[in-house]
Amino acid sequence: MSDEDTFDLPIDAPDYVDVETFEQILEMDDGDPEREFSRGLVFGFFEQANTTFDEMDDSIRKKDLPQLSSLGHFLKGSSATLGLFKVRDICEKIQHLGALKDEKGSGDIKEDEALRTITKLLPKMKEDYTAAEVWLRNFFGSEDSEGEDSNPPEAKPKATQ
Amino acid sequence: MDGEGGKGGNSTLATGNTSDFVKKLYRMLSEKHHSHVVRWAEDGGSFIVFDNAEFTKNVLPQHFKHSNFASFVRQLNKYDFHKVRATDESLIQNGDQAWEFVHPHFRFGDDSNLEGIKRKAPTQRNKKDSEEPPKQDETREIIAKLQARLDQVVSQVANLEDLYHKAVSHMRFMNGSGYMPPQMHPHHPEHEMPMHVSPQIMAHQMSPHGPPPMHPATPLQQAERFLHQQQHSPIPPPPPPPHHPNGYVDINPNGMNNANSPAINPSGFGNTAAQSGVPLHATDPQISTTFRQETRRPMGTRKKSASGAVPHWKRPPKILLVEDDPTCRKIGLKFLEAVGCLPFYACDGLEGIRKFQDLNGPHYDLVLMDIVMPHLDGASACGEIRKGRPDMKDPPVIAMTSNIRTTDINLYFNSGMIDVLPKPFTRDGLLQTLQKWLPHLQTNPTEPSSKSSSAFPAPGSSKASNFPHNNNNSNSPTPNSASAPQPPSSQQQQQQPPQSSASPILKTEYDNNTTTSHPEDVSDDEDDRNGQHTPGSSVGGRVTSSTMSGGGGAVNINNHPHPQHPHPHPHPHHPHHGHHPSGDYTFGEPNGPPSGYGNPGGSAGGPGGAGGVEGEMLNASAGIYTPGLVGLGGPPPGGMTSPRGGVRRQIDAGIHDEYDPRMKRMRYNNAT
Repeated sequence: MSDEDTFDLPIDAPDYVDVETFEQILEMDDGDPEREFSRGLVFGFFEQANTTFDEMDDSIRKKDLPQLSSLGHFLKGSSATLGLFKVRDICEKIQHLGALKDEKGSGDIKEDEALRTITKLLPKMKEDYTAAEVWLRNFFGSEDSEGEDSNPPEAKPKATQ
Repeated sequence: MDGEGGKGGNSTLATGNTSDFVKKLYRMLSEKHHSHVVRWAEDGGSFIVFDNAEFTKNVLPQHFKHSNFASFVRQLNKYDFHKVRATDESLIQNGDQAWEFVHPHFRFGDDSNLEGIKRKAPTQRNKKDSEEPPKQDETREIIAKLQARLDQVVSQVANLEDLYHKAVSHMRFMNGSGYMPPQMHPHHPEHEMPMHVSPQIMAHQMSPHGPPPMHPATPLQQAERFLHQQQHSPIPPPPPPPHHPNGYVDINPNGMNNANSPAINPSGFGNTAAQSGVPLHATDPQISTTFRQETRRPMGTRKKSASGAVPHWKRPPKILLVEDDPTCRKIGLKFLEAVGCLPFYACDGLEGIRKFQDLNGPHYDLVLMDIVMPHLDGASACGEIRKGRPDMKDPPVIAMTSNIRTTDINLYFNSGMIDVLPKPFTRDGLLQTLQKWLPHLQTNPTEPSSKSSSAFPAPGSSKASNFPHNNNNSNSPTPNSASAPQPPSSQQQQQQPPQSSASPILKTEYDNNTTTSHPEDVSDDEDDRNGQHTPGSSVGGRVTSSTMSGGGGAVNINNHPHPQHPHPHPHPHHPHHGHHPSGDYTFGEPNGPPSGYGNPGGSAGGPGGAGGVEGEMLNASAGIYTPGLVGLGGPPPGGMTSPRGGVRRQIDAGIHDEYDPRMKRMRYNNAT
């Protein structure tokens, strides 16, 4: 994609997102300075992630490993889609652990070990997630400062009745 | 204005859901000290920016933290404010630099309605919100249908023509090969499969690892190819020549159970239904006709994506995206849109089936199917779809998943999926997959590049040889009773040494070609490959393989069944022989045309320089793989075991569960 270089990602972007993946999404904004599409996607993900975290906590309480595995898988998909690799990686581990596999998905493990490991992983994941969320919010700017960083393509405002 | 004017200045603004932008706007107008620059209009129903420059420089930064008037205006537009057109009067009153904006709920002194000022659904730049495409799509769909109906007469002529051609070629085919309809029976098992299998699947809905339902490629495809050759319909190949004339119909009784599908469709070749007069959805012939038309007659490119390399579709391919994760769904729809497709979506397997089978719905050109979903997983959903549309290319169902282990992949194939798009997918990866499977919709079909994201090619190509080996050795009874399902008739009718004769069909084809009619067959093949046909149509062995996976891997899976079959019969059709011949003819040689095709890139990997995957496969098959073709009559289920082993190895070798998309892509390429 030719316009890939125009996103001006903050220099610390690679700490939070897979740049290539993330840029592909930004690209879908198609030049929209307000990034409606990507913003909507990312903000929608925030909700999704938080909901999933709650469900994970709940599942931990219920020791519902299959559900944890499923939730891990679910969140893995969306975080991977956005390029949030840290969250993605932990989700993957949780997916495996919930399925009674080790973190890499190969060896079998026991239930209590799985639960224990997941319980340990969750805070780490939330931490990583929160860092990413903050970074993303900052990147997109909160709602009120929209347009702040815009460099409108059109010279002339196109306000028309 | 409701007279509460006094409140205007100090109001804290109802907190509620009023958007920050609106609050700020309101606050800004409440401040008197820059009222010479911006203020409420006299009647309080609008506000006016008198001095653009001043406003931008001093006021905007204060309230909106930026100084970009254009952005400000865009924001206003977004919240449905409108610029009031200047009148003579207003010009005199406010000067010609003034910008006046109005919103019905935005009034001086009345902040009670501010909550009603919402961001509009995005419309301007992104014509469609990704979640909304269906609406517009529906409209388009309607238009498309109307157009199609207008052309109905014409299309009917086309139908007749097709039927005629089909009949002719079929006759030729049969004559040449001595091919008897009964032989086709071997297919039955396939058709049946869905039925048998599906229950299992259902049971295991959520577990991808459940027993894989088998769904082998159709022998028909081979035949299809043959027909193709005869018809010399190289370029934008119309959907594969329909087969049903072949009498596959009898299959119905055996395999199809109910509702969804008129069993007939079995032939699965794209337009079959319409042509045969058996509507895909039995109920509405018209629709099927319509579909058919659309398929064959591009309506012209309706839409172009904004970004760079967008293929030239004859018409926007209609893609059904079945995905439960909203984030993935949104981006998937967006990508689809960006590459010029008409995306539709479903949020789980059940909805996917429903939408797919909706008689009034669009005729999807391709289905992208997530695997792990609530209610019904993607593999099961695909199995269900395949009950009515056994042809794996009608339409192609692509698994989208991050679970790309061997067992997973086997499951996908077995359920009737034809390829895998690893997640997270990229726009390019998506595009490549689309191009690979929708060559007939492209005006300038590009060859599937090695890059094609499918996992399949890799496995197959890389270790094709192993596979065959396994197969040969594995005369072991198939675990699955798949073979059993085959109609007795078929078995009885033709007995062929399983190994030696391979598939009569293919063989015949070749024979025909060679001896009989088309000296140039070979070249035709090439054309096919390079051109549209590629994905689906390949010569015998290849066909299968391509069908299954587009690559060797899949093929292998399917193939297995054969070897294992206790009864060689089923295979009669099998390309088995066909393969060899084909190999000799076309691909056999490393340099053979095949190489070009499959995934050039991937195949290139083949040290031998052997042709693409196909080439390799063929070679392999020629050398080792006796049993015959994969998909064909082979009792799919049975075959599974050994193939898996083989596949797994391949996959393991080439693909790991790593999620870096780049890595994956590279791997695939390399693997291939």
